[in-house]
Amino acid sequence: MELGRHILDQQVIDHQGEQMGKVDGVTLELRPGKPPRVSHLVIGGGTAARRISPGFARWLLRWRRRWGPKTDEPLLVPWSKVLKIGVDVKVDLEAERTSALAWEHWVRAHIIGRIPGA
Amino acid sequence: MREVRFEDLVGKVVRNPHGRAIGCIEELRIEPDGEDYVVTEYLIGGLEWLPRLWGFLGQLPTFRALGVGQGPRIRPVPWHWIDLSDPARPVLTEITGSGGR
Amino acid sequence: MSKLLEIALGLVTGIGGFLEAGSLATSAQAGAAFGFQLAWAIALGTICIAFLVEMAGRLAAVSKHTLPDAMRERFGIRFFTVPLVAVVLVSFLVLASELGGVALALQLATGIKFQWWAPVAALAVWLLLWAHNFSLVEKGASLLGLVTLVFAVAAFKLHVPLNELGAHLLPSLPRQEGAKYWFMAVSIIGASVSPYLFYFYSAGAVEDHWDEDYLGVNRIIAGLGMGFGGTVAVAVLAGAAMVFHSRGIQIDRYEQIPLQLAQPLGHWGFILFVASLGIACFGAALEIALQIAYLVAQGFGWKWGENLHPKDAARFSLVYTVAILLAGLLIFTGIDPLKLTIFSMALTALSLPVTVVPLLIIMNDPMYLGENGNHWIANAAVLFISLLACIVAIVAIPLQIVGS
Repeated sequence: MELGRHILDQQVIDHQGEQMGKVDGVTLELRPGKPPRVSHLVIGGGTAARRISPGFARWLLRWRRRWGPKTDEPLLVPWSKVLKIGVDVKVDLEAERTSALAWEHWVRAHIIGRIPGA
Repeated sequence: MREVRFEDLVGKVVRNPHGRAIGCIEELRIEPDGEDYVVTEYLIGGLEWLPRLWGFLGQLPTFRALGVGQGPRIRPVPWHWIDLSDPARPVLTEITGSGGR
Repeated sequence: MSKLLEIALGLVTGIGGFLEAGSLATSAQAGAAFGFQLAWAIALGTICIAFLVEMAGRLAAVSKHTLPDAMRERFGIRFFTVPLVAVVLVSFLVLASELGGVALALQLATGIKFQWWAPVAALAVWLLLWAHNFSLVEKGASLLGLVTLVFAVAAFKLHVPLNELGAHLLPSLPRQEGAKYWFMAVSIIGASVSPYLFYFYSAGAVEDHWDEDYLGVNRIIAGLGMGFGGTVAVAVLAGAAMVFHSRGIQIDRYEQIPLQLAQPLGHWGFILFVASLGIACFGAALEIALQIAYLVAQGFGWKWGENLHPKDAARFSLVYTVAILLAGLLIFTGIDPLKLTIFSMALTALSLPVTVVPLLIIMNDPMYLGENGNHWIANAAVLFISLLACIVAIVAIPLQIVGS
């Protein structure tokens, strides 16, 4: 398997099939004398913006601080939680309980939810 | 425990111990090792932009048929040949054991 | 749903949904200015979009990915931002053009200036999407869209010489006004090969859980649907040629176009024109607004779906809401809807390679398509038409701006 081709930028779904976002980053643990180990998938928190350009990410961060949820940290999914890698990456988590949907909830509460009929 | 981001490694120029640029990291191959997945190979690609452009266009069969797309060779390098003591400056060594200190 | 019903619906959508502000404006203008001569541009554009729609459907059926999803995965976030930004910008301008078309139809019906109808049109589009039952709306809009067949009826009544028209399905060089000719050719291709058509189609195929059994259905819908739709556009061009070209009338306002239906069909022609313009543009506006939301949501992995409660897909709903709001505002400023439409189409043509090359790469990648990758003819045809349209656009657009 290749990290870039098969894992990075793939859709992440939770154990019930709910969309959680994309794999925006992958962390590797460097170990002396042993090969690096895939430790976490990273979702959200400005990780994708940083890949586009660090300058853009900094600019975006200013807006993320003014608006949006208080907890805006990237979600780190331990590799052990990965259930299946196929069309999507399925993880053993419940989307609603993680920070992956923090922005979704914020937009729902502050904007969409305030419009009648939502 | 030291951690590095995969997306930060991609595109980093790999140099030999004398400082000469050899290529850049394109991809990492991983394989299961018990419960974990570990890096087995680094795929190192060329540095020149023109061969990379031809390589990109060569993904289209139409261009390949026209002769474009003999892209730069991507060479797999075993994990222990790359020294990531400084993750921003990967070094290609053939000394075993330097997976990072 | 049975396959036959799917095909029938797909065909109806293809025919009823093909004509919208862009095709109508560019075909009518071209017919008035150059007679039948630019019929080949419609043919070329139709062939290209038929291939692209088929590809989008095949991608969804085999890989279970929508196009934006596959593009982000295959190329990474950095590369993905290029087609993302290009398609969102161009689609936004086309969305505004469609709202302009609806507003203009209402102006023709009531006499009240189109600017005042812009907020009404935008609100109506938004409300139908907010009601999150788009499947129903889509079927309704497609069926109503069949009213655009009136252009074919009118062309028939005008006794369009079919052999002469047919001869012009092959490309020819302009005898005069070269810059204008090529600009119009490029706008026609941009109107036919609108990215929103195949992006929207790919989302629909995934939502309907298409699989490899649908490959045949997909081919029929794409080929026949787009083919018949293109025929309606040719009918618009032919009608305009018969009514305007012979008299040397140029079209530079939407308000002139009803004449090509009123002349053969009398007062009913005018009424059906207003209905066609309003319904076709309204249907297209719904789809484009959704498509912009799909592109952003699928690219970033958010929840999306045309039948979801807005609060269950909050960011997705926010995107189409903002898109419609800004598009409505643009028309409210009183910008000339016809000029906006024509330029949006030319810009679409200019941006085609950016949209099309990533799709073609994916369609030839066994990781996504397995053994169902592209035939070499499809690859070559789409690539050739897109590159050609872009190169001609690079030359023709500045010349047009300088000339006008």
